[in-house]
Amino acid sequence: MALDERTEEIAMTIISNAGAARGAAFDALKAAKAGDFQTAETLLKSADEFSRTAHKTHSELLTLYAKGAFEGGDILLSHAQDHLMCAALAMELIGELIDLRKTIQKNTGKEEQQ
Amino acid sequence: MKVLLICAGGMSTSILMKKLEKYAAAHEIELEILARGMNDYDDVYSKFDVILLGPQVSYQKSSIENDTKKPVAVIAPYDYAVGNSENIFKQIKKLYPGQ
Repeated sequence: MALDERTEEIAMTIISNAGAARGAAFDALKAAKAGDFQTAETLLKSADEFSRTAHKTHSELLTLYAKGAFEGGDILLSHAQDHLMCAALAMELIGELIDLRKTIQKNTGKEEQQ
Repeated sequence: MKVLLICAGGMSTSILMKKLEKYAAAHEIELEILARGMNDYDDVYSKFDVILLGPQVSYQKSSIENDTKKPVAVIAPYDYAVGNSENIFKQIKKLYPGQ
């Protein structure tokens, strides 16, 4: 496979997996908003798996770069990295938001009992 | 068939669009296709039969459905990554059986 085809495939793999991770993270947040923490947990796990694939592919890209296989500067690749970072941030923040919702629910539960 | 592809910025769907156009030409499928970003489809969507989303905007599916009242589906991450045109056309046919 020609290198530009390979880099395009790498970029598209990163974009779609990072994208799916971000999508699953937002769906998890939606579930948590509705009080369904179990579904939220499952969706976060699925986000994690997609993200792992994206990161693995990204490492492959960095290895190719370190070997001097290409010079870099490809706009599609930087776009893919943009997606990767967006997904990472979304997952991290959404994890925190879900935890926060759990705590709030626990505390309101306590208040109601008192 | 008229297919609108939507992703975050319209970049990766542009690449997918080229692959789908190639496949359609090779298989004599009549296809009108356009790739747009999330904030950039308002003025064009009415002309299309179906809307396909990149996996990165999957969580916007219901809001796009509400906005456009068109059949909407999300492309599977693997099909999207490798540009699996055959699967994607199957998905389009499912959304729009008239074609």
